[in-house]
Amino acid sequence: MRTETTRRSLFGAGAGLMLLAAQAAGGAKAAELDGELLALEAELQALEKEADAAAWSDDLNRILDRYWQIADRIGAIPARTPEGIQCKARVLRSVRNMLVVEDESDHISRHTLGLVRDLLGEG
Amino acid sequence: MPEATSHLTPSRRDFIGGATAGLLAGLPVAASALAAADHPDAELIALGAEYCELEKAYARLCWADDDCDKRPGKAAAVVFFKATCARMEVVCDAIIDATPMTLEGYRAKARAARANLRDEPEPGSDGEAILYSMICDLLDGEG
Repeated sequence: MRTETTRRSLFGAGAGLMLLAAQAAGGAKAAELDGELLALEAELQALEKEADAAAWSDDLNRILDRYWQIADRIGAIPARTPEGIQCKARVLRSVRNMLVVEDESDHISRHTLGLVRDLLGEG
Repeated sequence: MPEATSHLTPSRRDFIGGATAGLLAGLPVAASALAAADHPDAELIALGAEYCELEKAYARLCWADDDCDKRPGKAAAVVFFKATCARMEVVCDAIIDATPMTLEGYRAKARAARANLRDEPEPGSDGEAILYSMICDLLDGEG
């Protein structure tokens, strides 16, 4: 779009991330306010790696059960800092990866991918 | 809709044809007409607002997409429904292509995504619950 070109020429594609970075609460504050979210994300990402490496087994079922339990919990916790919101964006990407979403042409997939991209500064 | 100076207008006409342009009179005002305000995300904010209105129009008109529904006014509703869908495609793409410069820009995108979700998803609903939760965080309790 016309203004998009102007924006990008002025600010660069990472401007959205710069905005979030400027408003970031800082590591210590994020850990204080969004500590549970960030800890759950770390566990979820570790489980995703375990699931990728695990053969189909009872152990994989255990990993996936725990993975979705954590994903549900993350969806239930409000983020209080920009870092917390970015954490949810990363989790959303992980969840879509686990679900192997193939058709990304519907509006909600497009909105989701666009928001994740913007929040993670990948525009 | 006023004769727009929007760069989006030719695409809309390409999609739906000039004959249906009159039917678009009931659709929200063109985004660029609202984007005159001196705000880095003015166009994105206007597009987001237009998308939310289009979602409402879609919900009102989706009966027109049901072949079994024969209520009066069906032919006009079908044309209007198709015009709404075509415009939604254009606006959706424009929103996704725009890079937000301000928190209000992010919120415009979040409102559009929330409008498309329509209802709060149940937990475990394929990531949509996390998306909804992230949207609520961005909108910070906005109703």
